Amino acid sequence: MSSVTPPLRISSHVPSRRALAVFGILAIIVLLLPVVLDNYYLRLMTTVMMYCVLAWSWNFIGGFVGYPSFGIAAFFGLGAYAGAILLSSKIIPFWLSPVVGATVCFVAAVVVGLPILRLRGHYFAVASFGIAEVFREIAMSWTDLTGGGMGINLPPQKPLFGTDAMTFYYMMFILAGVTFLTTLMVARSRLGVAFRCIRQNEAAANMIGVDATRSKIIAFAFASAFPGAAGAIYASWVGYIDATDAFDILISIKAPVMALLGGVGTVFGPAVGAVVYLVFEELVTRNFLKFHAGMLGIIVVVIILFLPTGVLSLVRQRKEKMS
Amino acid sequence: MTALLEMRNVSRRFGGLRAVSNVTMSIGKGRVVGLIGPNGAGKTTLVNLISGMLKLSEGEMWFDGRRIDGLPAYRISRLGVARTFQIVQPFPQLTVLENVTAAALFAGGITNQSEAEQFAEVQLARVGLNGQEDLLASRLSLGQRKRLEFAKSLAMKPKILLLDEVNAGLHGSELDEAITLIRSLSQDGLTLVVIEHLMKVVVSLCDEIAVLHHGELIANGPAKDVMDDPRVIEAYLGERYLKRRAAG
Repeated sequence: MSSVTPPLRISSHVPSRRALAVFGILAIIVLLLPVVLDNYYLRLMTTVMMYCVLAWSWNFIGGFVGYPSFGIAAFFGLGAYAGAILLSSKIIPFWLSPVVGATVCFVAAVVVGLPILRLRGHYFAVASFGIAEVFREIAMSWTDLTGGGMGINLPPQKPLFGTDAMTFYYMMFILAGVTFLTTLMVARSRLGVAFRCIRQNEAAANMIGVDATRSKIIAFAFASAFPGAAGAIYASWVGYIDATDAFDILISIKAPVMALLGGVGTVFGPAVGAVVYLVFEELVTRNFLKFHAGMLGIIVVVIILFLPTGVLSLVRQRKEKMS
Repeated sequence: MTALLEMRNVSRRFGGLRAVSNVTMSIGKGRVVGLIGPNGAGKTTLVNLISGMLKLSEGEMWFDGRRIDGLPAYRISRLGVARTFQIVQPFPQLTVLENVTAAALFAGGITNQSEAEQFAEVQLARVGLNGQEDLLASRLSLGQRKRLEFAKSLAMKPKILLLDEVNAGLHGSELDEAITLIRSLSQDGLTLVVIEHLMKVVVSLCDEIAVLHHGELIANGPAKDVMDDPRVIEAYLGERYLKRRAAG
C-alpha cells in the first residue's frame, strides 16, 4: 500500500505502522482477557490499565514538554472526589462520573497551570508537588462537602459490563485507550512539534512562533484530565475514599517512575513502564513482604541506572542493529 | 521610503543601568542596516527588545504599521520579525529538517506538516545544508549551525531579519559564503539588521550604519557618513583605524 503524499520526516518520533499493528493486536488480546481471567488477575489488569493512564498522562507534561510534574495525585484525588460526591448524592449516572472527573480536572489544571507553569525545572516540580498537598488539606477540612476525615462511601452501582470486576476493568481499559489515542494524536500533530521544541529550548521555541504558554497549559490539562477520570473510576471501584488515599503522594511518584522505566517522551514507553512496574510490584510484594517498598526502589534504581532511556530503548537498539 | 521598523525613544533599564537609552531610529523597507558598537553597548539588548524577549522600560516599537512593544515574543515572530542568536540555539534533539520545519509550522504559518517540510527543504538548499536533513542538529559543526540558524529564520517567512553576530567564529571560506548569502537575501528585498564586529563585513554589506555607545545611539545614517563621524571614530573605531585609513 502506498500513499500519495511522501511520509513525513518530522514524524520520525511517532511509531511505525508495524509497531501500531503489534500494539493493536495486544490491545485486542487485553480486551478479551476477562473471558479467561479469574478475579485476582482481572483486578491486577485493571490496575495495569490505571497505571497506563497515569503514566501516559504524566508523559504529556513531563515527557513531551519536559516539565517534571509531581502533581498527578492532586488531579487523581480531585477526580475521585468529584466522582464520589456527585455519585453519592445521585446527581449523575455512574457512566458519566469519569467524564465529569476529567472535565473538573481539565478546568482546575488550566487555573492552576497558569501560575505554576511559569516556573521551570526544580521550581516547577516543587510547586506541582504542593498542589496535591493543598487539595488534600481542602478535602480534609471541607467536611460538609467531602466528609472530612470520615471520607465518602460510594453507593454500589449496577454493572455496565457483565460483573462488577469486568465493569471496572472495561472502564479503565476504555480510558487507557482514549489516553493512548490522545497521546498518538498529539505526537503526530503540530502541537507535538511545539511540545518537543519547548522541551529542548523554550526561549528559542517562542522565537520561532510557538505559543509556549498555551502549549504548556494544554499539556498540563491533558496530564490532569485523564488522572481525573481514572480517579473517578477508582472511587467507585474501591467504594470508599478518604483524603490520604485519594491524594496519595505515591501516585505522583509512580507516574513519572513508570514513564522513566518505559521511555520518557515516547508513545509506547509509559505503557511498557506501567506493566514492568506492576510486575515488579507484585513479585516483590509476594517475595519480600517485609521489605517490599525498599526492594522495589532498588529495582527501579537499577533499571534506570542501566537503561536511562527506558526499557523500550532495548527494542529500538535491536532494530537499529538489524537494519 | 517607508519605515518597516520604527523605534521611538526606546529605553531599557536593568536596575540602575540603562542598557538601551532613548533610542529613536527607523529602518526602511529593504535596507541593510549595520548595528555596531563596543561590547556592552546594548546591541543584543536592542535586538531582544525588538523581538519581544525583553520588555521596553520606555518608548514605543512599531513594526509594519502596528505597535509591537508589549506583544509576546511568539506573536512578534509571527508578524515577520526573525532573529538569530549570538550563541546559536538549535533544537539539539531534532534533526536539521525538523528544526527548520518547526519554524515554518509556527512563525511561517504553514500549518500543513508536509507542506512545511517541503518549504523547509527549499530553505536548507538555499543555505547549502541540503544532504544534511536527517542529521541531529547537535551533530553539526559551528559553521553548519550558523547556516541552520539562517534556514530557520528564512522558514519563518520574515519581513525583517535581525542577525546577531551571525558571522562570529566563522573563518575564511565560511565567512565569504555567509556574506554572499546575506547579500542574496538583501537582493531579494529582505530588510536586514546586521550586528557585526568585522568592519570589513559591515562596510561591504550595509547601506546604513547605526552606532550604539553606552546604550545611546550616537550616529545613524548612510554608511560612509557614519564612518567619517569623529564621535564614532572616538567611541568605536579608534585612533588606530583613523591612522590606518590615512596611511592607506
